[in-house]
Amino acid sequence: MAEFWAQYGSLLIEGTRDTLIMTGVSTFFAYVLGLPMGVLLNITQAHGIWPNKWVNRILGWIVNVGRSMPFIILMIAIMPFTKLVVGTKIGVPGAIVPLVVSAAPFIARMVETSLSEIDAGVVEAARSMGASRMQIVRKVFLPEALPSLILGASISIITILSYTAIAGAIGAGGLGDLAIRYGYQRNVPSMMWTTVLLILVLVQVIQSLFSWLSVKMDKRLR
Amino acid sequence: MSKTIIQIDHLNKTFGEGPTAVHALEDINLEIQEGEIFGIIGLSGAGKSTLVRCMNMLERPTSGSVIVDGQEMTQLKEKELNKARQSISMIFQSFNLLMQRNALDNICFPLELIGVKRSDAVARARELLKIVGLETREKAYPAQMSGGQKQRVAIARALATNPKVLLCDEATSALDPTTTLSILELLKELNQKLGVTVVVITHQMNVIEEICHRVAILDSGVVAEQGTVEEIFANPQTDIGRRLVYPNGVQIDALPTARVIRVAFNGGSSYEPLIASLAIDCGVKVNILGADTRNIDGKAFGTMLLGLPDDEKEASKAIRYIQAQSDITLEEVTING
Ligand SMILES: Nc1ncnc2c1ncn2[C@@H]1O[C@H](COP(=O)(O)OP(=O)(O)OP(=O)(O)O)[C@@H](O)[C@H]1O
Ligand SMILES: [Mg+2]
Repeated sequence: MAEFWAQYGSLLIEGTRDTLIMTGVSTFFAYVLGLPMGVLLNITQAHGIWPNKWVNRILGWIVNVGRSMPFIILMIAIMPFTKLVVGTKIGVPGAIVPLVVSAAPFIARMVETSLSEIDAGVVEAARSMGASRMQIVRKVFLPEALPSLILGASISIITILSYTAIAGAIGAGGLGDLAIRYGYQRNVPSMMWTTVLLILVLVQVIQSLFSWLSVKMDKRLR
Repeated sequence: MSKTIIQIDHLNKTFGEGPTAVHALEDINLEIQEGEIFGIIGLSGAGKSTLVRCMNMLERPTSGSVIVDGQEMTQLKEKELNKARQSISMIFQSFNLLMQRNALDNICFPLELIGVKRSDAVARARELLKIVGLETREKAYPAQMSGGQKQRVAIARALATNPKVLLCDEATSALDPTTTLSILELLKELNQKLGVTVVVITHQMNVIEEICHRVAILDSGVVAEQGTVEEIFANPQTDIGRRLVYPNGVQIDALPTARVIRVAFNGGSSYEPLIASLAIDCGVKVNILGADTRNIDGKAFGTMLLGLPDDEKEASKAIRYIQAQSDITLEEVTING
């Protein structure tokens, strides 16, 4: 045990750190893109507050294409773009670009669904008080959907986390990279199982934290 | 004299196109006076909600004009419309409060929209909570309140921007009779104290009876009749009017084939003394076939159907006697078949 730790300890810490950085940074930028896309998808529906058939169709199409692309293929396909944005195709920065591109459409759909749970009557009441569309989005849609958005975020984060393991295959670093390099290429099963365990713990912690937060935030449940 | 605050001319609203089009409103003309409580009643699907939603442009009329407080609503640009909506508030059957905000913050909401400073908004919200009798519940979330309390918060929220008009779409339909009465009392009080014009949409005649000054009856998208509540109650002119005034129905075809008269009370004495004095003064006994009278502000309104004796002389005697009374009108009912 002590021997294992002496040999691989720093690798595991580094790997965990890289995984957390990739997941955190990617989630942030994926939301920067995905949240407005999800809001737009929702409000441009026929019964939305800004009905616009074409914006809705085109955006919906982009999102569907993005979502139907397997991550590993997307990662390779957009390599030139990745290089353009972050100056490298590999490592942690090289993984963040495809992670963002792949997660944003997923997040857009998640946000769209969360917003659609809001009672149309509440939106109507805000309209009757003279709220602008922007005010409705900021003061009705987002705060009213917050508990659902938080739950959605936990799903997004965990999805991105599992993608970081795939990104490990192209040398992105992180726990997935360790599992592949040691568990598969060098045949150190104990190393592979340790990384799997670490990922499991991360998923558990994230899920519990966000579920707790969602319930705590939801003023409908008391 | 009072001035017109809502004027609706030749208003039409059609949903959809072609053969499946629904003509929800057809050539509606209404004038609502400043400071009155105006009722709009009709059966389900009559177009009441559509009509009231055309008053604040939640629904765009297909044609016609809607003037609220001197502004032609159909012509307003989005920004102007949002501004105009600050003085036309609305409350709903399902309350439509923000579920993630407590009572106080719900009332602050319309003030936030127009950029009122937080401390001023809170002060105003507290003032309104007091007016609606919920000063102790400012921290409560909608999920923690009863229907009646939620509607009080919604009313306070609607009043935050000092509106001139309060539109109420079935505001009491989700409440039990006692709570309904208390909300109606509150609306009446607000109307008297603040002078806010109230438009009440309902399918319940007792709501109209309780608080309205004037009423329009809507039937399949057209105004069947309108007038003061007293007029409509005393003497409904249309089938739909009679159906609403007598929900339990006086079945004309079930009446005996003798002469039948309808006696309308327009605010005089109630009916029992009339029947009694008919018997005592003229010695004529009449049959009460059906009656629906109500006390409005301590005066009797409503109508009664009387079956007259077969004897021609006795019948005319009764008719003359009734005609001689004040505040009572009489009409002969013709019975088909
Ligand atoms: N958005 C819409 N699209 C199509 N038809 C509609 C729409 N809104 C209302 N209608 C139709 O217009 C008619 C009037 O509806 P409205 O909701 O105004 O009735 P109402 O008198 O308020 O009825 P209720 O008492 O049930 O609320 C109905 O036939 C309804 O089906
Ligand atoms: Mg309705």
